[in-house]
Amino acid sequence: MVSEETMQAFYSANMIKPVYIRSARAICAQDTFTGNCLPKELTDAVNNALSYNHPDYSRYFSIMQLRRMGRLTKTGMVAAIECLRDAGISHPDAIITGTGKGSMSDTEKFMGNIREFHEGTLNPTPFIQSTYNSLNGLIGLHHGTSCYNTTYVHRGFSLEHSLLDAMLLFSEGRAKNALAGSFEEMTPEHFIIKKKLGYWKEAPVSCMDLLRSGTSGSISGEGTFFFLLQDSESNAMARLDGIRILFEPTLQELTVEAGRFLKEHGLAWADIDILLSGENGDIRFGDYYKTISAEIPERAHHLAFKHVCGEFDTAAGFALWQAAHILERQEVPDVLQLRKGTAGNIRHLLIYNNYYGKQHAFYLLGV
Amino acid sequence: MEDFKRTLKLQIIEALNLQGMQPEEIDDSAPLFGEGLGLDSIDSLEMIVLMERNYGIKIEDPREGRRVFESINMMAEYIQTNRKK
Amino acid sequence: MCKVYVTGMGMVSALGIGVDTNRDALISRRSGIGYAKHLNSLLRDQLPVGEIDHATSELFRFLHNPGNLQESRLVLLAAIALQEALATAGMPLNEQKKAGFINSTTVGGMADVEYVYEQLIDPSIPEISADLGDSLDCAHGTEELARHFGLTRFISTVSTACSSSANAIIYGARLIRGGMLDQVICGGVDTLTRFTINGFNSLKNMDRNHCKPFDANRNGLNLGEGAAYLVLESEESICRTGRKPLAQLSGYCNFNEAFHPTAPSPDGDGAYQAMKGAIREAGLTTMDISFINAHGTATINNDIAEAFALRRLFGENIPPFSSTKSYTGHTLAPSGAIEAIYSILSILNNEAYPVLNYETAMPEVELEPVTEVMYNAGIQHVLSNSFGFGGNNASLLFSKYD
Repeated sequence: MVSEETMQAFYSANMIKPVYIRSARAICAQDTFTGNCLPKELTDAVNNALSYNHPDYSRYFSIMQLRRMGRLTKTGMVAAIECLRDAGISHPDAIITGTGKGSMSDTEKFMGNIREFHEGTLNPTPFIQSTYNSLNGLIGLHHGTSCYNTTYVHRGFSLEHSLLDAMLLFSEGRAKNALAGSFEEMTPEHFIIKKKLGYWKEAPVSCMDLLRSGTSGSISGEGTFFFLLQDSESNAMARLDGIRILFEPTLQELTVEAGRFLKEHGLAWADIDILLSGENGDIRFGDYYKTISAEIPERAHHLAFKHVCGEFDTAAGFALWQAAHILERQEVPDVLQLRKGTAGNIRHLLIYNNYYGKQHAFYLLGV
Repeated sequence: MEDFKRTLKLQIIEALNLQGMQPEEIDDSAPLFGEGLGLDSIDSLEMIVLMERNYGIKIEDPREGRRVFESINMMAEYIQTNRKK
Repeated sequence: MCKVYVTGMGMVSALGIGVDTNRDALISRRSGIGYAKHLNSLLRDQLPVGEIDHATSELFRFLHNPGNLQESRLVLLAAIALQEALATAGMPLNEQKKAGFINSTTVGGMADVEYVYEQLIDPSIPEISADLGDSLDCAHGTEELARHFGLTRFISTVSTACSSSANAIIYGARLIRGGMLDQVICGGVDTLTRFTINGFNSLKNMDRNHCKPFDANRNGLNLGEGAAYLVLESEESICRTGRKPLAQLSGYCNFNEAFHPTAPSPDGDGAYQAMKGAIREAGLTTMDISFINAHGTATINNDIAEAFALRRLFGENIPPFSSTKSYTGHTLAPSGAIEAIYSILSILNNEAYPVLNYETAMPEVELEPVTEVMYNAGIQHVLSNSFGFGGNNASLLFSKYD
């Protein structure tokens, strides 16, 4: 057994200051958009897929604006527009996004056109929209905002890097606020590829049975999430103290690093009031979640979220959106409860997520 | 010619994905780019695809495309003179 | 704020494998542009490109330890460049394990997937290899490389079109300055793909001849492929290891211009702000810049916008500048890292590399790029530009270490 002291730190985040979430928006399979909260009635998965519940886009865009928007451009634009509106900011200091797969429907469409028209004269629009940073550029264009702008495309680390980047910008004093977020879609073609690779359950499962299915595979989801981060506390929903990412850690590294992460922020496991974790019903990755949930105190609530939004590269965005609302309202949605605790006053919330056992991420939030 | 212009407008609406727009909303003599309909350089590339797929007219230089696509009148005339199908 | 140094670099481009081979081609004005032999596209006889002159299966022999690396053009090109970068830095394995790895790419494993894609999505074929099924994204290659080289501590992949690796380098430098990491390996990789060549062909901005950056009669870009990585280290790390830096990364700036989905504003405001920001970051003035490796793709829009930005920023005192895309083609994601290495080579050897195929000045701004190799060029500070789709502009500034 390697002791905690001798095991090398993955990296240090001592110099990164906490940041504040001013506003948070979500578009996913559930109608999280209309009231900016989890609805009472939840939509169930169809053939192991939870697909977007789309807002009415005609309220936001003219015919001319909609002409080149794919489905992910629309979810991304609308989530970004409302997030900025909630914060009362029209020109953010930075626009940073993360996506595992980007606009797959445009990528697939362009690949299909190449085949169908034998590499002849092709429509450029799907090629342009398939570019991972096209949404970023369009958000900037829509708001007339020229600023720092980048896109991370690393599966279960995509959103995490976009947030870390924003935190760095504040520490550097280059920005006072930043629009950060993630966007992801599932297409019929990509669903087939992932099905062959064992990402989904063999037999159709209801969302409410997902977490006790006892089999491998999960259900597919989609989601677009935007957050207005700022360096000051004023009017904030919640505080984001830090993020820790770990690539393919052992179970021991996972717990040691999680403990170290809390310690860096002056906390111990006993201080955690809520663990919001990414159980996806796939038994192959259950041990990671069991190991972490074993650490939290009796009084803490243990919540899960992927039975509500499905599994995808940037599903942590749903957790962060939910966490900001829990901390702001001090209310814990029953539908997320895995184990009800007694903690009333929610001060420290830990998100733990992994994407198929490869990319692991911790988020520490507080009020 | 009037029927042809209407067909052309429907093809443009489809090619540029102008969902919900009616052919009547596009003026025959108004500029398609900039003021007027408000198309841009990417639309011009999409219209080049339209010209080739529907009329067998190949336009290699996007700058030439912009001259042809000045208005519906201009475009209709160009197609009638140069169409291969 | 702490200084960030470059202590290692490695690359592959159409000019060849390795930094020295690339420099030889640059000083002998030997272009890597020609018709592709390995790219499986109907366009390969119409559009010249900067292709690396080896079939994918041949690339294994350039690796000292191929390990279990996948037979993927993307992964192997990147591995060859990474191997050289780590070797020139002389970084022992225990240090590699502490380093961050920020990769970048625009289409990831597309070249490996596009020819078998129909089988992947055919439900009647139940089994597919995980390597192929998962490699249609940008992170797959990064993770293969991270495992192979033990660079697993802190990994990421950036994708901002043509400025991708410049942004990977900027992120790496900021992680060092933010105190999160001491050493970061940053760069990017892209291969020629049927997807990309058809994409740029649909935008009608590819030249059917060799591209002519900054020429009045330029008619578009040539695509290329390649991989390039820099080892970045903090000042403290240099003091501890005693390693001698190749150069200092003294400034950088990312500035996104909200103008158009694919075209720069005609006055090049994004390019202007990015260059200005990088110079300011370094605490220098425009008079200090010795040479500029321009983005210079040879598209009609880019070169005029970049030229206006140069005129606006430098006035009548524009430093010597050129575009090496006339040698390598536009390699997309790695272009920023490839040209960062060329910029460092300029500093190390006190020489500047010319543009090829240039004949006539653009009438709108009368600017003459460097057309012959400049020796004893007094090079202290080199600016390297990378501008991309979506208005994403990034400039890097490298300075002589002494």
